Amino acid sequence: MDEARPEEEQVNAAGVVGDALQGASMDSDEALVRSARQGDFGAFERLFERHRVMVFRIAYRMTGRRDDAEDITQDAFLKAYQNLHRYRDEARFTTWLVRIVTNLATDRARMANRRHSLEQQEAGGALDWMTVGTTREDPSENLEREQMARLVQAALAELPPHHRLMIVLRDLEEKDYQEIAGIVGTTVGGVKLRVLRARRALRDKVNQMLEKTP
Amino acid sequence: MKFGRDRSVETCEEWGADSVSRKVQMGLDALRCEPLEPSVSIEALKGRILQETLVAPRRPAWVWATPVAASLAVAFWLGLAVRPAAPVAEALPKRTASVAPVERHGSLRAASQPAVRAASPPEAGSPAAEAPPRNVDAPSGAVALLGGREGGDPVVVSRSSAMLASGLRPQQDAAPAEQLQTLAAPPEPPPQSQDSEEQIVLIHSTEDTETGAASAVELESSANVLVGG
Repeated sequence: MDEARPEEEQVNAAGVVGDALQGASMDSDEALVRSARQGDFGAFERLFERHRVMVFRIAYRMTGRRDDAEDITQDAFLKAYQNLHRYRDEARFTTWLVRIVTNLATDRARMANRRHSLEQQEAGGALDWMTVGTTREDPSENLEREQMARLVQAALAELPPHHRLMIVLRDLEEKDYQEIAGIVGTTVGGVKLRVLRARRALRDKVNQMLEKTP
Repeated sequence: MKFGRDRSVETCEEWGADSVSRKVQMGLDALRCEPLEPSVSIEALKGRILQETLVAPRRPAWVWATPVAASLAVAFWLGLAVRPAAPVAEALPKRTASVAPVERHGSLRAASQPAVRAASPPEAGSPAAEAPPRNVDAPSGAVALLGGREGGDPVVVSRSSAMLASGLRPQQDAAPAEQLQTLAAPPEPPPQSQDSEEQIVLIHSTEDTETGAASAVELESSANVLVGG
C-alpha cells in the first residue's frame, strides 16, 4: 500500500515546497498527463500503475463487489484517457481521476440497490471468497475486528450513495476536506456537513445491526 | 504496517467516544487495512482503448446532426409554411374585396369607418340631421283612432289626450285613402329622438310611403272591430 501512494507521501514530507517541485518534476502526474496528451502511451501506463489501487479501492467500497469495482476501474482509466484534453492543470490529477471514479461508482451503486439482497449475503459472509481478510497476531482481536469490518461494510452498503461516498473518501481513503470539496464540487464547509451527516447515518445503521445481533 | 495518515485523535473527536462509535471506527480501520489488489491490467486497458478509439471510432457530431437538422427544417417548413396557406388563401379574396377601394385612400382602418357611421346617429351638419321632422305642428303623443266602413267616411273613434289638449282634429273630410295613409306613418325608432319618448302618429301628413298605407289598413280593420262596424 505504501507504493500505492507515492504522491501523497511526497506531499506530506515536503509540504508546499514539495508540491511546487513535484509540479515541475518530469515524474509528476501533471507532467505525465502532458506526455500522454502528446501520444506517449507509456506516460499513461505510469499513471495507471500509480493510481489503479486507489481507484479500485474507492470503487470497491462504493459498490461492495469486486467485479463491479474492476469494471469501474477500467472504465475510469478509459474515460480519463479519452478526456485527457479536458483535464485542466488547476486541479490535481488525482482529484480529477477520483471525480471520474466516484461518478461511475455512484451510478453503479444506485443500480446495485436492486441487487441489495446479494450484497447483504456478501456482507454477511456468504461470499467471503470475493474479499481478502486481514491477518492479525491476536486471534480474538482479529475476530472482533473482522466482525466489525463486515458489520460496517454491510451498514455501508445500506447507506445512500451520497452518504457512502463521504465515508469512503473521508474515513477510508482519508482525503482531506479540501480535496473532497474539489471532487464533489462543493465548499469545505459543505463537505464537513455532509461528512457529519454520513457518519451519523452510518453510526445509526451499525447501532441497529448491533441491536439485532444476539 | 501502517496505512494512511494517523488521524486517530481527529477521528475520535469527529466520531464521538461512545461504544458504538468506537466499534464503527474499529470496523473502518479494519476495512482501511484490507489489502485490495485489482486484477485490472494495463493490457486489458489497452485492449479497451483500442476497441473504443480505433476499431469503433466515434463519429463526429455533424455526421448525424446534419440530416436530423435538415429533416427538422423540412418538417417545420411543411408544418408552418404550407399548411396555413389554405386558410390564408381563402380569407384573402374576402378581405381584398372590401378593403381594396379603401386601401387606395389610406389605411385599413378607414374601411371600417363607413359602417360605423351608418350605425351611429347622424352627425350635426349632415343632410340627415338637417332634414326637418315631419309635421312639426303635431304635439307629442297626439294620436287618433279612426274607424268606419269600407267605402264610407272615417269616424274618429278616439283621440289621445295630447290631441285633445292641442285642439287638433283629424281630417275627416279628406279622402279615405289619404286618411289611412296618414294613420299609417311608420313609428320612428326610439333612439332617434331624444326629446320625446312617445311615438308620434302623423295624422295630417299625406306624404307617406306605401308601407305606411299597408299598416294603416291593418289599423283600420282593427278599428272596425273595436267599433263593431
